[in-house]
Amino acid sequence: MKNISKAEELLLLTIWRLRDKAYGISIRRKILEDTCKDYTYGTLYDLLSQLTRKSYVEKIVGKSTPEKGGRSKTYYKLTREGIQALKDALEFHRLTWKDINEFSFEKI
Amino acid sequence: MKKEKESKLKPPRLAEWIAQRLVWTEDEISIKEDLREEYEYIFTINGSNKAHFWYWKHIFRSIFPFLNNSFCWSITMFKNYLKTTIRNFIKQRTYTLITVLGLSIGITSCLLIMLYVKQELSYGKFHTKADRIYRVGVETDRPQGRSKTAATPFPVAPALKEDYPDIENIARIFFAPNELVQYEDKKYFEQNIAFMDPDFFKIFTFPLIKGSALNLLEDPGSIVITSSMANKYFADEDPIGKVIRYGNQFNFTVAGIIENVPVNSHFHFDFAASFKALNQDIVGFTLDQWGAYLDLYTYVLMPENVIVDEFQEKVQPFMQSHHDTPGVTRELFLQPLTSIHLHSHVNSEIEKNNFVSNLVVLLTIAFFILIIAIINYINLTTAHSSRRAKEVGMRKVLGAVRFQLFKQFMGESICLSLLSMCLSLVFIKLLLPVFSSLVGKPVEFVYSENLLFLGAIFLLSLLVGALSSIYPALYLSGFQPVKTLKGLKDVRKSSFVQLFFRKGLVVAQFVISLLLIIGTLVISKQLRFLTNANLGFEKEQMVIIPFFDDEVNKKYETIKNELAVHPNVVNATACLGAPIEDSNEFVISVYPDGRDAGAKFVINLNIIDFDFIDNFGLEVIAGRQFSKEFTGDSGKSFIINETALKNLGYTSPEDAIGKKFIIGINYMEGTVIGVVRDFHITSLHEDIGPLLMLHLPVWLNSMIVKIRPDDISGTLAFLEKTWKKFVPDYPFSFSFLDERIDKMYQSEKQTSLIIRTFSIIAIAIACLGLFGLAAYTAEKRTKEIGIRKVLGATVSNLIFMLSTEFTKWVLVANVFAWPLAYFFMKKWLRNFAFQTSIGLTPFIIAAAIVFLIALLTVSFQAVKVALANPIESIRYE
Repeated sequence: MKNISKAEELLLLTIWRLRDKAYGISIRRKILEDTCKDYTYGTLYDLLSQLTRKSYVEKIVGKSTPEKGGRSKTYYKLTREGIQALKDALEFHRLTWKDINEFSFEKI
Repeated sequence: MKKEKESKLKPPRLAEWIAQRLVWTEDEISIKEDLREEYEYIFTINGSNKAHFWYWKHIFRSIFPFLNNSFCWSITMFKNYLKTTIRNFIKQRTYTLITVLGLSIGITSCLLIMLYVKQELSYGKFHTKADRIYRVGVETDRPQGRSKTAATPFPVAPALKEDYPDIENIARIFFAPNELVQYEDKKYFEQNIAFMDPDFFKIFTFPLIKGSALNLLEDPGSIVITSSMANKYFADEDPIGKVIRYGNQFNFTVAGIIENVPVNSHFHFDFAASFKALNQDIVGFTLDQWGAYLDLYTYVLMPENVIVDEFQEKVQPFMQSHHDTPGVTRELFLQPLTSIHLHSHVNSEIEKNNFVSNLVVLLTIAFFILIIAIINYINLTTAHSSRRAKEVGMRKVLGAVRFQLFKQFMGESICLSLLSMCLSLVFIKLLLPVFSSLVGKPVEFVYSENLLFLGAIFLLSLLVGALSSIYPALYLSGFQPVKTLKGLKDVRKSSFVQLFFRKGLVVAQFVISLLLIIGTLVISKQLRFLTNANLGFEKEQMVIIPFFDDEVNKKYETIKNELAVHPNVVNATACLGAPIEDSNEFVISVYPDGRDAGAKFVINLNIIDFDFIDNFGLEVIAGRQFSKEFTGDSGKSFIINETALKNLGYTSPEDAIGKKFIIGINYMEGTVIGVVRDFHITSLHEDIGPLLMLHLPVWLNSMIVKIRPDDISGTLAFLEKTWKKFVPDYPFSFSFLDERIDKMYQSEKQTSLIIRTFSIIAIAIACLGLFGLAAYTAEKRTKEIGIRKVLGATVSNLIFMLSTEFTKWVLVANVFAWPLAYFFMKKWLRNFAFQTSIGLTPFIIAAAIVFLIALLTVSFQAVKVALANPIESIRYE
């Protein structure tokens, strides 16, 4: 099982949540809404290119839209490895947090 | 209306530009688009100021991730570049080999020369106190002129110490004449015997291997030897405490062993005996004479923080206060230890010093060779550029910008030059012994000890790679993708400037080659002139047998008579120093107007036997030579040469006969009995000086035997047998006079050999480049040649056509090279008092050589193209 970083995990999850509407702006906005983390595009694309290189996500060139002056957006989609990585992350969470809830810490 | 809105919505230009500069990955456009979209969104909601602020803030916060990301991608691209580079190398093996070989030969030659120069510059620096050590010399001002000598009289050191207590330390070293050294049955004639003050080892750094540093050489009977001498005499024994015999009177106990004196020391010794053992018998004078300048050198160690110039001024009156002779002023001068080897050219130097100008010549050659190699690389790469055209086109179509391609080709040639560097490091190790014999002294290179140098080499090869690739990289990255992908041959029209540049490079290569060849030819011409010059005496088949020994001197007459019996011995004579001998310069003062009037000038002295003048074929132009019939000749009669005649002010040779004057040996008075025609008494670097010859049998120290040219080895064996018969204890050593004279020009020969070797290398590299260029031109004109052939051109026509272009360049190169070469060679010849004329021949020969080589290289390609089937040539492209 290959561990992915927290940021990568967040990105993968967001892309998955956005389904086929995951591209630069939507990903950033979603992360901002869900976690209040303000990622810059620099960080975002850095992570995205890393994930692409690890082939957890793939790029899909979308249809060109008239609003963008005929340019097409690049969408991101999870690959099978990406989904597997998310599953692994979930499993990892379950294992590490299995007997712990928010009250556990107060007992000590 | 819509347009206006759009322009308003544009994010700040500068910020956008910064973002674009920072990102050069494939995401560049996506990022830009996303930023713009978000900007527009914020703009519509919060207005332009907020949007602007957001945009700037965002860019600012992104700088680091942008860079990080881009860097990751450059690595990926780098891998790709590396792959294509390696593929290209493998695909074009011959081409890569030629370029790498050319570059590495260039770098190797350059590095070898740099190593040598580095060694020459490092003289004396291995002493830990090197920056505080100075050699004391004496500058003498006589009416005839000033002269500087490195040697000092014996009493200088103790007197200096007494007069100037702020000197930290002072020590003397005396180089004794060659002497026999013996331990048990091992007996050798040693040349590097020195006597030194005990403090010598405190001033200089000569690491002691064995023995105690305490009180070293304090005992008059002690001697320190080098490790190679320890091996020579003692092999496996422990030398400490053993007694060796010096000459036939002295015994020395070995007190210590030091490491061999390094190459980069301006003096070398194998034996260092205690100075206290020195006495009149060894030196030949009493040690308190202020007027005796022998092979004695004084070194001072100055305390730190002493300004040497001030001290120098302080010691100026020193010599006058101790040794005052009327009409003569003497001053001490100090030479920093580290500058002696390259900058000191005074009289009585210990060893032959080098000249900075020699190093400059060598460095220039190294620079030239490097330039030739770089030019070579430029020409070869541009010539082969068409093979890379498709790749360039493809990359450009896929989105590469010019700068990326530029970087790629830069990187490629830097790879090549680093490869060449590795190769040249191997070459250096292999060639170092050859190079050492070329420069005449061992040049050392230990990788681990020269880390700094290795770093410099690395930087140098980076520089070479970068320099040689700027033009090709610019050229290649400028290809137009459409043309290259269409498969057009002439993918880029060369502008006039580019053609001019490339041809200029070739011309520059030829100019350098021509300069080097002309230089080589002129130097060897001068050397031939020196060795063949009429010296004024016979030098062929003269065997010189030195004997610095009283025993032998006593038996000289007997040996001489015995030798003369042999049919192959023409005659035998003896003298104090054979003509043209640097080490045996005896100079004395002349007092023509009586002792009280002071010395008029100095004169070279030679002590000769009766038949010396006959045997050497000297011409007596007035008077007579020494003769046994005149009993008063010994020590009372002088024979002088023409120059001395002029200096003494006599009008004619006949006028001089019978004149009396006093010379500086015990103020001896003598009568001139003969005048000989001038002959060379020193090397041809110098004019013929005044000479005085005396007959003083006890001072004779070299036997000179003229033998017949047949059965030389038999005659030599006879000489040795006879020698052993009379003086079995004294070793027999001999040398030929002409060989010794040849040795005088050793340094010129060395220079000539070095220049010759490196010019051959330079020309070879230049040829490689020319070959590549010829191939390129021929290839470009394949179709033209095919058509010409179809229309009826003959093979010879075509070869002529293709070759003329290059011959033009050679001609142009000659125009530049000739005046330059003339200028440089004139300058070099000024080192000699007797010069050959430069003449036209070296220029014509050099031009012919370059022309022929160029023609051969070019016509090889031309023939190949011209012989090709025209149908194929036309179909080509």
